[in-house]
Amino acid sequence: MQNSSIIDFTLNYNKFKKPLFNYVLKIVKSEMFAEDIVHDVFLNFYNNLSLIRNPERIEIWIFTTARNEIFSHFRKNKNKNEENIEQYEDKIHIYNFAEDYEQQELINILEIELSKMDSSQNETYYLKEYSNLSYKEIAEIMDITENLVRSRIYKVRQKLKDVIKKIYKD
Amino acid sequence: MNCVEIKLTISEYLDNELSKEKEIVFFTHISGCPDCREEFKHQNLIQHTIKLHQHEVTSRLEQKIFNSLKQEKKSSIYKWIALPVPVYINCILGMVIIIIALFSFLQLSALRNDLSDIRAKYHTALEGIQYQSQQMDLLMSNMPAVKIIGQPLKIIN
Repeated sequence: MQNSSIIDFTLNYNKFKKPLFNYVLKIVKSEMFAEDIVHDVFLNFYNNLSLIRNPERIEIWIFTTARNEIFSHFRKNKNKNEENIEQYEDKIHIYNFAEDYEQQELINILEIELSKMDSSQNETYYLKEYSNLSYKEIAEIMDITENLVRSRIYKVRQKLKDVIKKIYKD
Repeated sequence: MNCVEIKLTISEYLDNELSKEKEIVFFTHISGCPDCREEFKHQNLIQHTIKLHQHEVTSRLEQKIFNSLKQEKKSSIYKWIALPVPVYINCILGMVIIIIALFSFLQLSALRNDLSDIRAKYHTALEGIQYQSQQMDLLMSNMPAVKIIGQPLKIIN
């Protein structure tokens, strides 16, 4: 690989590693599998970087590849997935992002609420929140219409807002 | 824009999908509507919370990725070295055929050159003979007529 390609890879790796990892983690609900998938995506990216001519398409490429890897994972690990989801939901309370107790509680509540939602809805939502992709690009990746992307994200936000409203009322 | 439309617009605004013109209408409504302002505040908080609090990529994962990339770099060179034997044999045979073909071509060129030399010599010799023949004809035609003395030969049947 030439030096300029190595630089391109490193720049994109640093830019996308965290959002990609978080997106995959939220979908597969297992740190171990999320790490495997992210590893495979970046290895694939390294081998195919020279074929991606338009730099604006890199983010779409990475998240599309991630989705494909996730589907393969679900096909291969049908039986293990339910166990993983239970373990992940137990772990949600352990992750401490904020020193502030209230903030941490809020994060936990939102995560639990999102994990209960329909996978197609929360996947669209996570893809939007963890990437800089537009509705149009997400629609392309998920092979759905732009309006459906807009509507799913809106519905997720409404559900989360209802939960927040209850908390603040209490 | 009514409050129901504004709720959808809040979502689009948070996703940077709102046009500048719609943004103006949106903020004009928000500034005058406490309920929508409250809704906007909650949605903002939710988005901020989700985006801000993300898991870090573990050093274990980073190490795994970079080790694999090193292997990939090595393996692309290794692929050329560790080819199966028939591939090497085919390469060698191919090179031998090319060398034989080249040698044959060079030999053929040399033979062609020899042939042209021989042709040239032949033509030169032929011209020489033709010239001599012409000279003989001239000589014969210029010689004076001579009376033959003696009896003619008898033709015996």
